[in-house]
Amino acid sequence: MSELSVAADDVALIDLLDRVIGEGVVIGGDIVLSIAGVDLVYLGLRAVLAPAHVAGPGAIGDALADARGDAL
Amino acid sequence: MTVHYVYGVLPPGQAPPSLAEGPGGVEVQLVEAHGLAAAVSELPAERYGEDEFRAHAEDPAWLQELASSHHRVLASIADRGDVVPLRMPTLCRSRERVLELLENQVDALRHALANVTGRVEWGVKLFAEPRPAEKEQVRAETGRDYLGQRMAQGRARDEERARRGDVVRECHEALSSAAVDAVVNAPQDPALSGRREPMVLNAAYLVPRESEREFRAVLETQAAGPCRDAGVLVELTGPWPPYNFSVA
Repeated sequence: MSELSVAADDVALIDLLDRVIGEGVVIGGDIVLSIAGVDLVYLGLRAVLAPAHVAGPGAIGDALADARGDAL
Repeated sequence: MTVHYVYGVLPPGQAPPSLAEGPGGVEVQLVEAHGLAAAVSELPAERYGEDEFRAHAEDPAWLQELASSHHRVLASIADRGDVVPLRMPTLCRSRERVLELLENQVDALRHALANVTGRVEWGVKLFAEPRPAEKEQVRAETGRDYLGQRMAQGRARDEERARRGDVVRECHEALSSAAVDAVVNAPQDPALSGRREPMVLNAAYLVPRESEREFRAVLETQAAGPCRDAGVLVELTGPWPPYNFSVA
């Protein structure tokens, strides 16, 4: 049915990050290495990707491709 | 130097048929204590330590690779069994620290595990279809006609928006009734959702495995009926490990 697109195998980065960074049990304290900055990860990523909006559809893929290109 | 990266917590003895590999193909082990098992990988600190996470906080490619590994391991457990996902990244300095984590959090983790046992997460996103451009056109002979038409259009738009709001609410209520728990998250920005249409619902539902078919049937009914009529597009993702329902 066309209204319903199931994307279980093809997981979108944003859905993934929404969950693995945004959710899940947060365990703090001395046992776990303190990564205060990681709360900023998601915001940081948004900042990286958000300007792509101006460029229109496909921009996220482009932004990721650019980011990969830069890393190489 | 290594760090112990903890993916999630599962019941002891629930060894999955095949456990996915961690980042870089590294092995995933189960560390058991206090009636709990932690899924853990020992990773080189120079690549996955605290500083590396800070350094790569705004690096989509690095984060994507790690998030994918994190998810792949949890999904391989959740495929047949139960798991409480921990937030990425949960890093311990040593195996002893992992055992301490299980000891200190034993009640919370057992409670979280009981809550998700036999249940999976489904994600549902609803988008508002753009209004057809022809509805916005005005053909008027006089200024009075023009104003009248513009006002009528404004009223029609308000009504449409209100109707759409009702449909979204009713859809969420119907899905919540077919689930044991539901969470509504902030809508994703169009820049990140990959769709131009504004997101009007970004929700997750905790669904017992035996009711998954029923849950999907409810969604299909909503999608083909009220949602389509009101110009609301439906996207289903899942099943996910219960990321949204693992608060210990």
